[in-house]
Amino acid sequence: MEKVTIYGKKQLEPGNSNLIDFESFTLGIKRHTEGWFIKTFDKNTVEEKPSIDEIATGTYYHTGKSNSLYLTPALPAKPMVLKGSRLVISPHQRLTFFVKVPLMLQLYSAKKQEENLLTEFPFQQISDTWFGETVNGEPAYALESEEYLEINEIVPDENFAVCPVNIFNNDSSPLAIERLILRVDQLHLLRFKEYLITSMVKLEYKGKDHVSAVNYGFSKALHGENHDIVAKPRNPEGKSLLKINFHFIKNIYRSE
Amino acid sequence: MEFDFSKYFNVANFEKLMWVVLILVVGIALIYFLAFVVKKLLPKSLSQQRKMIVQRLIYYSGFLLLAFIILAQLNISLAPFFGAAGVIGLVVGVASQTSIGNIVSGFFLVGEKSFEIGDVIKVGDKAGVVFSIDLLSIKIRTFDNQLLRIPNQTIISTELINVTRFPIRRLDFNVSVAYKEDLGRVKTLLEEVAKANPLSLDEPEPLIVFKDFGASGIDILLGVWFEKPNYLKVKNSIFQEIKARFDAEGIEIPFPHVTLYTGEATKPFPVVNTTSGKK
Repeated sequence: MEKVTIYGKKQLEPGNSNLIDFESFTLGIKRHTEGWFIKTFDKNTVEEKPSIDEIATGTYYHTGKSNSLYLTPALPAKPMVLKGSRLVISPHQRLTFFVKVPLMLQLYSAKKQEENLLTEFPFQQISDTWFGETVNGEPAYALESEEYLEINEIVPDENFAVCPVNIFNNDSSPLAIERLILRVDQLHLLRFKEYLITSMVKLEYKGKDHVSAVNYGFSKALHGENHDIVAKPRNPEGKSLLKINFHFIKNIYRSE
Repeated sequence: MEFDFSKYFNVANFEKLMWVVLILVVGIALIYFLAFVVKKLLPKSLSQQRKMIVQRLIYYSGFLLLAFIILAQLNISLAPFFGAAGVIGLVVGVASQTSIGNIVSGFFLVGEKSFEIGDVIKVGDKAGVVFSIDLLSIKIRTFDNQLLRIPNQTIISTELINVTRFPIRRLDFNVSVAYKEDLGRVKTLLEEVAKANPLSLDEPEPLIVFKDFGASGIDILLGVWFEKPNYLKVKNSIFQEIKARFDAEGIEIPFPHVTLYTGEATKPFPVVNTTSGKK
């Protein structure tokens, strides 16, 4: 994947600094004898180009002697809620569509392994939302993506992962998706062709009064034969779960 | 008449006393040890309040049992105590009416489960985090770090708000704008402020209600939903953002104006120079 340039290894000798430019922020890193100074400069609030000297005012991570820093993509830590408005699936029909999930930038020192994770930043502001009723729902992020019926419609972008969603409507009435929760913390992140792509979310809808079944897997067409895994699931539970995945809005949301 | 010390200070009584002290020390240690072990063995999913109740049960029953054992060791018969229980009960009942009321209220409170340890509650004009639920009272740690004791009876007979019972809350902002403003534009601005704040939940959607034609301006309510730990962050950030956005867009936030008349509207208000005494 030649085009992905923002991720990878950064090597700095003690005393050296680097400013790495991203779409919404600039990341400043400075190598100290046995640690790293890390600071982000928000492009919305800071108008001038940040100075290298300011990096030392950032957070200091005492990591050891390795001069390597790994920048890798990761899926958000909370599930994401898709506000569907235009998708209706007829009874006993199966639909596959794609959404764009915003990615996080993770920084690891020395080696990319869990205990070496220093910090992470979202590439863009992700808004909090709530899935379910006000008394017993679950916290999530709002997914502000369109639904694409073909993966080719999506322009490859290293700030986003493509998430394939497959829904089988196993009910006798049409399914109009209102709110769909995608538990992205349980998905793998892979690299295939020019895309960063998540595991496929396979859902079986059984009716409004039933919990739906969700399954995560890979497909040869979307993930290739040899899976190039970029990030493992943050929450590796649930490979196959019976959970509430669809939410239909009741009046309580809209009245007071 | 000469007092016979040997009748009370003898080897037999000394031995009895030693046994009592030994039973007391070992008994107390055992009760605390048992309470500690049970606390460790209780499932983590059990709420703090239930853990505390179990622990208290062990303490109260343990100390009661210990008292009976000591009385038996001292050869004090319990029969007269029980015989006089009716009279004593009546006297104690009258004397400790309030305390007993508090104890009974405490049981109702625990059974009702309207709040638990760690919840934020509001009682009257007081608010804080429930620190402990005891036999006679509940203790609240107020936000300025004071311990507030409220008798159980007061709690049971007062309106109480459990602020943190549900996972999300709505925070209401009362905003006022001048009569000259375009209300459609104001509504859009408020929607944008709520939408732009990452901690304000997209759903349930923010609530905007035009409330009243007020004395100085039009009163509007903006209700923003948020996850309960984010209360302060949301309150401060939305407040600042409304002010900043209104300032940037030239939306006037009115405040009460007072006009003073001296009796004749055409004549200026008389001003006195206090240093010279001249008008």
